[in-house]
Amino acid sequence: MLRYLHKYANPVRFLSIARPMRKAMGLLSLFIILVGLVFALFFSPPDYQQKETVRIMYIHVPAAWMSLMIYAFISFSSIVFLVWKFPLFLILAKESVTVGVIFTFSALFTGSLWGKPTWGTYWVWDARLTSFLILFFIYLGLKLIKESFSHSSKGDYAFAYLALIGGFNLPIIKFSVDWWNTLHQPASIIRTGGVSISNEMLIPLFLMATGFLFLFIYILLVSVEINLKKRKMGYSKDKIIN
Amino acid sequence: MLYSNKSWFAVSFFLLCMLIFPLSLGSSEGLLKKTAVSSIWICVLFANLISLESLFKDDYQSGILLQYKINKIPFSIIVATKLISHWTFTGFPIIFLSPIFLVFLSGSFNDIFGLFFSLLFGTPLFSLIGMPIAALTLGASTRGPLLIFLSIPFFLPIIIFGVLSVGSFNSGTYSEYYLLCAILSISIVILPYITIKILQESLK
Repeated sequence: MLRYLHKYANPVRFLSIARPMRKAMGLLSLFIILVGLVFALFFSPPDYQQKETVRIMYIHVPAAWMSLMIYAFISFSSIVFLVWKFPLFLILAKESVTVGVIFTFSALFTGSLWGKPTWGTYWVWDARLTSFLILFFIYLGLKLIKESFSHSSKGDYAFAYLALIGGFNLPIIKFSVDWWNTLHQPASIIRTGGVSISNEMLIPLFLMATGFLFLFIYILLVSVEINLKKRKMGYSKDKIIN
Repeated sequence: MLYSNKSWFAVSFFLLCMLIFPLSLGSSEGLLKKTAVSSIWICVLFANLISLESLFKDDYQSGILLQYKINKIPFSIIVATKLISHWTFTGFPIIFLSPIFLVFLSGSFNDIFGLFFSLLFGTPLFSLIGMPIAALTLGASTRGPLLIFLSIPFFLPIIIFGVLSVGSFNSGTYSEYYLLCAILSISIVILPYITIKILQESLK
């Protein structure tokens, strides 16, 4: 398996599979998100306590999942880059940052809109909200460091090491903020003792989550392709060494 | 010749920040009393952020780091020395100054020992966490603001536990001190090693 995947670390071979995959992912994500939205907005029942506002969940929760997943992906790719020096993984990590910023922002934004009718306020200094805000700033830091070394290869390593340190530190930050204050409801999907919400809500939620995942892969593949082509034309400012 | 002695700068910056809190919180005595511990921690944060910039900068720009590398001096020694000297000139004086300033900020006398021990475990962590980030940003175009932006999120847990631990000292539960010690003992193993790696990369 690893040996089979190994050859796709070559950018040219990667592009050969990325192009068909990109089109498939784009269409799939569009289709799944549309179906998911229809399910979420029309067929899922309103919550008995929160009424119709519960529908914000179908954007909020997948966006939050995605922003955590993208961070894990960035850390993983950075480790692969640092250990095996595959330049492709660095490009993958670098291009995911902007998508991560957008997903984190949309999770925060929809969350604050959802907070107004349910908690009575747009923002509370509660553990989860705060740790997501910190995650947002760490993403912005990654984006800053990506852009402040435009002419040297040092920036590549700086980016990878920062993603690595962030990967170690995020659990500590999360834990410390949890210790500090908690109001947000605990996780209700992924937990021991099974799922705690009904199937009619779960199906659109998972549809939206898969749709967002495919959307991320689509955007990532498009931006990696653009990056590789710029590099080929000698147009790109940032260099990948080796 | 190569160095101007700027080691007093961090401590004097700490004292300057101390001035802000009484002036901005106004003459309301009760408010100042409640926020004394938090304001001291914020000043410690600022002093560390300011002093981080000069941690590797002079050595990097004058080429001394490269000289060390050519002469095969192990980076572990350099990083350890940097860490100890950084803490001695920023953390150590602040630990002893802060109880005095707690009194100036009209904080309660009960907090003095709690604050002392929380700073004793917290300030080495500031130096430890700041070090790899200072090494990362060597050679960046706008280094100072970048360094501050990157390090604040990683300093947050220490601020949280530091401020909470002062409260727990009086109630007799020392859980936050144990957490600070736990983070300190993890960081002292991992972070210098990462710093060595980053410095070696930055000289390639």
